[in-house]
This record gives sequence, structure tokens and C-alpha cells, in this order.
Amino acid sequence: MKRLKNVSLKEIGQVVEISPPVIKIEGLPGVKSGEVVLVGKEKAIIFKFTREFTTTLFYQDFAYGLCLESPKNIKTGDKVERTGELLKIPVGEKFLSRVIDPLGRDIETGKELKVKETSEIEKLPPQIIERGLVREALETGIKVIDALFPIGRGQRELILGDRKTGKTSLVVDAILNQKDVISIYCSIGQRKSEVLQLDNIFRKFGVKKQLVIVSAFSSDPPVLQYLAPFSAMTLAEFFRDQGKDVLVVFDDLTKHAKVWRQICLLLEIPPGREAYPGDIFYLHARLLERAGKLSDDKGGSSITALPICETKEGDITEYIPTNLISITDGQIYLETDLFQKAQIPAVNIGLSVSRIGAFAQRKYLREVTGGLKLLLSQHKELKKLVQLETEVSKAAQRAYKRAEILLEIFKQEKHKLVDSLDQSIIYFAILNGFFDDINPEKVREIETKFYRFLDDIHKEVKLDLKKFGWIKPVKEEIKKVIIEFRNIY
Amino acid sequence: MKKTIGKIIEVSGPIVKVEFGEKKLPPLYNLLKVENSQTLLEVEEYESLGICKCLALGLAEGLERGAICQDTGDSITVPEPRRKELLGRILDVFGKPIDGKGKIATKKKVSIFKSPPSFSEQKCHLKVLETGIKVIDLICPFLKGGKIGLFGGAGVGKTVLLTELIHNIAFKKKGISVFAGVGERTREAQELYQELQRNNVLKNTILVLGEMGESPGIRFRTAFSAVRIAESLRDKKEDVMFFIDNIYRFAMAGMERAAMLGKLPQELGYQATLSSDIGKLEDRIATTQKGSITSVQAIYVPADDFTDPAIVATFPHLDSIVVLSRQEAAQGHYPALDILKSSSSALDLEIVGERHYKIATEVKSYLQKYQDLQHIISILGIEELSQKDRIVAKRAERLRRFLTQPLFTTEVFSGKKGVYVSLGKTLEGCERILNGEFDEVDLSKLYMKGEI
Repeated sequence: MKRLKNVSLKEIGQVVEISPPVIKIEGLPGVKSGEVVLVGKEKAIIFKFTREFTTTLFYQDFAYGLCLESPKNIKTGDKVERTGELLKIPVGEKFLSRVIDPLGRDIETGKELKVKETSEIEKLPPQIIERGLVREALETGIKVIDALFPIGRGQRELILGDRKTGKTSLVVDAILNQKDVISIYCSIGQRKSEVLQLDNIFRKFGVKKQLVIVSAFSSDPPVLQYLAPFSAMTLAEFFRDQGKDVLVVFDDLTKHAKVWRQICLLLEIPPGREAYPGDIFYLHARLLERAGKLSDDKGGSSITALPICETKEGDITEYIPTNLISITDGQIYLETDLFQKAQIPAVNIGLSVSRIGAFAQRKYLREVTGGLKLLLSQHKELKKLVQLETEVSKAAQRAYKRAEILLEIFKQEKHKLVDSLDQSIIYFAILNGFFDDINPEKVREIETKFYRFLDDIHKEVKLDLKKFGWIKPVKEEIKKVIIEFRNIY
Repeated sequence: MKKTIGKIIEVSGPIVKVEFGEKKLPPLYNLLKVENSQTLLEVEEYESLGICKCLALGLAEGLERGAICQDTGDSITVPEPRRKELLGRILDVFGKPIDGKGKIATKKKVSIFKSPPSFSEQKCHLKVLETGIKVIDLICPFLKGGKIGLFGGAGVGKTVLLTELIHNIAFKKKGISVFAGVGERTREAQELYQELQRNNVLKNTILVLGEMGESPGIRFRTAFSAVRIAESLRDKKEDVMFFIDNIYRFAMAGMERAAMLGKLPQELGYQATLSSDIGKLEDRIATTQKGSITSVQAIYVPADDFTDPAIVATFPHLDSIVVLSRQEAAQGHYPALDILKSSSSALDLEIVGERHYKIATEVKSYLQKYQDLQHIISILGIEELSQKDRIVAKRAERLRRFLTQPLFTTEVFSGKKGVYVSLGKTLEGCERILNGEFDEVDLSKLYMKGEI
């Protein structure tokens, strides 16, 4: 077998047809699917082989490749060489704080980074026994998410919604809130200016040194856009194997699905539903299954994935959204209506879910957020009655008011993140009626003052809560502080 | 015997064409080994000139043209246990252990392809299997040797309920359970594995996994591998509990597979053979004279659409239909059964007896009447109802609350201890509510409790 291999590496073929970005190659009998071939200096990846019969007895074998760059320098008749390797990208610590393309080249300088290690971009996900349970919180600093749809380290949570509903700013905030986690922001088919803007935000908030941006722009060849999330995941796996917890964001997989559809149609692979190829579910399933938490034996580190999915007209029952919903461990659904009503982040509470749920919450936060869900479900029932101005009981009125205050608290400006201790205390205050007399319009003003009050005057309660949880003395202490605060404001 | 040998001539995604001489083609569905590769090929079709069209089971990357393929002489096989050999193990589609616990104690292997039992071999049991979950035992009782489907959209609690049933039935019964993880999340399978281990029932369970990170060919066949193991045990006179999560993913893997093979699709892109694919699997999950297979199957309802072709094709194969609804879940009614839409062929006078039948129908009728009254209540308020209707509303609300239950599976999550309620206690509770004993009792006294 070895002998065969060596021979095959010297194989030389030639380009017989170019239909950008697809090139048809004749004469590489040993080439593998997924192998990188060289046409002069240009690289192409082999995706498909065919055998064409000229008569019943004579046939010719062809391979179809996709160019990684635009094929404008390639002519028919050009020589094609095998490399014998599947596509690999360089990986290493050096990539931190950089903006790179899916092949690991620095976009800002245009140069390749000198790193020793490379890694294949298609890998099998961790096996069942290599995995651990998702039990640690990855806090986003976004109140409505941390309280109702907590995300755990190793979880895959889908962010979906129409365009301009705040999907990207939500994941950006989640990245900004990370302290001990490496983040990878993977942009697929976006404009350069959008990525530049995000880069500026990351720089401004000082998170760049623990962040890699992997980007394939809308003007890049489709193959690069197709490769982007796989490169990002490969890089994430590198950091995971270094023992780090990693957060990887895919912005967005709807575009990725479309790019894959484009490629497959150009390759004349038979289309299925909505003209997507048959492996469209598998495409994203095998990508996202690579995220997850490793078992302690394997180091216990994790990859958390936040894929983004764009819906049309709020329809989450479309093909790609439902595929992604059934792959991920929950979804956060952002809704245009709520966005217009200035309920921002525009999270639809009824349709969002986290399948890890409270398991992924810190204990002190878990103990207060259970009551919130009940409050909100009562609010939904009562809303109709209140709108019809039906008389409802005192208790119901009180619950309704508290839920209104809570929804007000869930409104949050971009990049203004709230830590889980502050969150726990404010939910405690709402649930125990300390905020009942506040006019909902004033709530957010008072909220800000409250956090400042806690930080400036009563730092100790937060420390105690962190240390002991909601034990009785801490509860009493916090009650006292809230009363003190309410006496002033 | 001389092995049949061929050569790869074409690779297009996972579809691989292999050329054999015209006279020595391997049989359909046989596996081919490829030199220098872990990936196995399954023969799907023959083309002209001695060419086989195959599906790669595993990553197709790295398959090369000209590579030599050898017929393994068999289709996918799984070990055939006498009884204990596979217990406590996790297997993949090929029946290989993936739990790192070493080799399997039996060498005997059988093909996963087998005909369903014939008409005369089949057997119907008319015995109800208690689940300890109030609403299920009352509204959609399970039959021993029957087939139960748990239908629900994304995130309404299918997997939770399935795990609870594993807990209540498998833990109590001490029989053998086979769990097939088809196209679902590896994380969930892993959580189940740990749960089984913690509750010390792993020793009676066999897990067969082909989760969503696997290629469609593998996911599709995993269901058959699991069924084959369940069949072996049944034929050894065992009463087997067979859990599948998820039938929809099985259908979908079939769709992906068909699309890749270039078959023409039907409605919504599903494979033309959707009904027969499901039929081939479901007909094998059957109870015979030798032993029984009681199966509980989770069925994902894409986009909450119960008219989806895959869902429609699954319904006729089931005895009990448990429908989980988003609305009930949003109201905190767990398990979130849509009582009016769920049904069971076991809820029959002959099978459950007169008392159970009467109570169940009465409960349903109260809930139906209450649903009809909803409109009036939401506009005019409950005070405007007639005295009679008010009693209906009161009892219906109390019944719905009583039919919620804290689950063992969600103990850590909700902080409430799970409970097992016997059918007798469930019937007694419903009867007392129907008789008006609790009309004035606060609703919260009945919510998320066990027996009254």
C-alpha cells in the first residue's frame, strides 16, 4: 500500500473546465475527497468525482475542485498537483487578539502567521464517554438570559430572530462579559464594515487579548465562507485541549446554509427541500456536536457555542431554523414586535428555552429565579383580564404589578452588563415586594441607583451572598439593606 | 471463500461508487471495507457494468479513487446476547462497545436485517402496565407489549418524560431495557447514562447510540441495530422495554440518505419511501408468543405541525398516543400532556374495567366543557357563569392541577421530590374531585402533588 501512496503523490492532472468557483480536473486517479490540490500556486479542495462514459466501453475519470481564491488566474490546461493532505489550518495561542480568515491568515496584515501546529478542520465530535455534564454557568451579564434561560459551559444555545432584532449585539455582550473564557467570533458572509465595527467594540472593552475573530466576508469565495465555522471550531478545540473554556459564536448559520446550498448546486449535487442538499442537517449537527463539555478525565474543559440563525417574518417553523433548534440545547428567540415596543433585548419569553436550565446557574441565582418564571406565567394569564378591566383579586393585582416591574428590569442597554450577584439581589427585592410601590417607568432609574448603592455602601452583602448563599442571616442582612435603600430613594 | 474485491471509481459526498467485475458483485446492503480507511461502505444499488453505488458509513473525507474495497461478506451485524452479555453496555450501530469497558462477552453476531414476525407468531397482551404517572395511567394507559408514542414539539419535555418512564418502569420492573439514541444530542445520551448509573439500573440496560454527529447512513441503521438486539432478547423469552429517542430523526436520516442517493423526493422533501421506512422499523417492534417488546418512542414534531408527513406516517403504528403541548407547559402543567388530544386503545371497557373507563371519560368531558367555557370566562369572568358551569370550571381546574406531578427526573431542577402514584390512588383522587369533595380547596393544594 505504501508504494501506491508514494506514486500517487506524483500524480499530475490538468484543468479541463472552469465554471467559477468549480474547476473540473482530469487525471488525478488517486485524489481523495476533501484533499487539497495545487493549480500553480492556487489551492483548491476536491469535493466530487465522476466517471463519464463516452461510449459503453470508454470512460474518463474527473475530479471537481473548488478554488479557495477566485479562479481568475487559472486557465484550462493548467497543471494540477496533489498534496496528499486534507485541509488543515494552523492553530496556536498566537491567534489571540487577531482577525483571521478561515485559513488562518491575518486579515489586517494579509500575512500568514508562523505557527508550528496545524489541525484538520473536519473532526469527529467527542464520544459519549469523553463527555462530562454541563453544570457550570457561562454568565452573559444579560439579565433576562441569566435569569430565565441560563447558558452552561459546554451548552449550544441558538440565538434566532429576524434581521435587526439585536442578535449580534446579544452575542457581543455575552463575549464582553467573559473573564476566564477564550472567545471566538466567527463571522460568515458579513460586510467588512460590520466586522470592523465589532472589532472596535471588542478593542474598546479590552477583551481582544482573549478573542479571535474568524471571518469570511460576503465578498470572499463561497468555499471560504463554508469553511469559516469549521475553522472556528477547530481553533476552539485547540484552546479546549489546552484546558481552557471556550465560547464560540457563529454569526450566522443561515448564511452558512445558503453558502453550502450554493456550492452543492454548482457541483450539481441533487437538491432536496428548499433546494438544500440532503446533508444540510448533518452539516450543522456535526459542527455543533463538536461543542460540549469534556469529562474530568479529558481535562474537563468546554466549548460553548452560540450559533445565530436569521428568521424571515418571525417564522421559526422554517426548515433551517427548525433544524438548528433541534440540534441545539435551547434557543433564545428575539422578536421584532418586542423590539419595536422597546423591550430590548427583545427576548420572547414563551418561545425561548434552555434545556440545561437551572443546572447551569449559580446556586444563589437559581434560588431566586424559580419564582420569576411563575410570576411571568401568571402575568400572561392576567394580562387579558387586566386589558378587559375585569376585577381581579388583590393578590393577582400584586403579582401582575411585580411582573410588570420585572419586565422593566429585563430591559437592558447594549454593553451594560450586570453580574449575577446584583441580579440575584434585585430579583429577591422584586419577589419580596420591596419594589411594589415603584412606578414601572421609574424602575430602571432606581435599578441603576440600587446597584451603585450596593457597590458603594454595602459591598459586604454581595460578598456574603457569594460566600454563603441565601442562608437566613444573609437574607435578613439583604432585606435590611434594601429597606435602607428604599428609605433614601 | 474468496473475497469479492472492487475499486472506488467515484466519490461524491458520502456516495461512493465501487467497480467490481460483472460476475462477482457483493449482495445488497453488504458492508465493504476500504483499504487505509476506517470508513465502511454499505452497498445500496447496482449500476451498469458491475458497479455498486454505496453509502459511506462515517466521514467520507479521505476516501480515494482507486482504493481497494473488500466485501466483508455480511451486512451490518450486532452481537446476539444470550441474556446478560450486553447489559450495562453502550454500543454503536455496528454493535461495537463505545463505553471503554472492553470487549463484549459474546462472539455470536447476527445481521440487523430480519423480517417482522408473521401473523401467527404475534401476540396481543391485554394487560395494563402501570407507569406511576397519574395523567398517563388515567388517560392513556400503556399495554404490556404495546407501543407508545410521545409526541411533542421542540422543548416541551419529550426526553424528560421518556427518562421518567425509564425511571418508573425500568427501575421497578427489573426487566431488561434497550435504549436507542437515534439522531439526538450526545449530551442527552450522556446525561441518561449517568442517570442510569446513579440509580443502579444501568446493569439492566443496553444503550445503542447513533447520535446527530454521525452520518445519516449510521443514524438510519442505528434504529435497526437496536431493534435487532431487542428482538434477540425477546426471542430468548424476555419481556423487553424498548425506548427510542427519536423516531422523527430516524425518518429524517432516511430523508437525507435518499436525497444523497439522488432519489426523487415527495411532499416537503421527504423520501418517497417514508411510510415504508417507518413501517419496516415499526413492524419489527412487536410482541410474539416467545416474549414481549413494550416500546416507548419519542417523536419530535417539527415546527409543532402534527400534519407533517413523518408524524402522520408514525401515528398508525402506535397503541397509546401521548401528546405534549406547548400551551400546557407554559401554564406549568407538568407533565405537559394535552389530555384532550392524547388517547390510548387500552382505554377500553374490556381492558381497564368499568370504573377506570368511567372516571377517565368523565375527566375528559369536564376538561372539554371547561375548554368550551374558556371564551366566556376570559371575557365576562367566572362570576357570570351559571351555577352548574361554575362547578364544571372549578372541578376541571382542580382535576388539571391534580393531574400534574413532580417527576424524579427533574428533582434537581425543581427542588421537588418525585412521586410514584399507583393507578388506584389516581382513580380515587379523580373520583373524589369529581364528587365535589375539593370544590372549595385551594388550587395550590392540588398542584404538583402525589396522591391526595
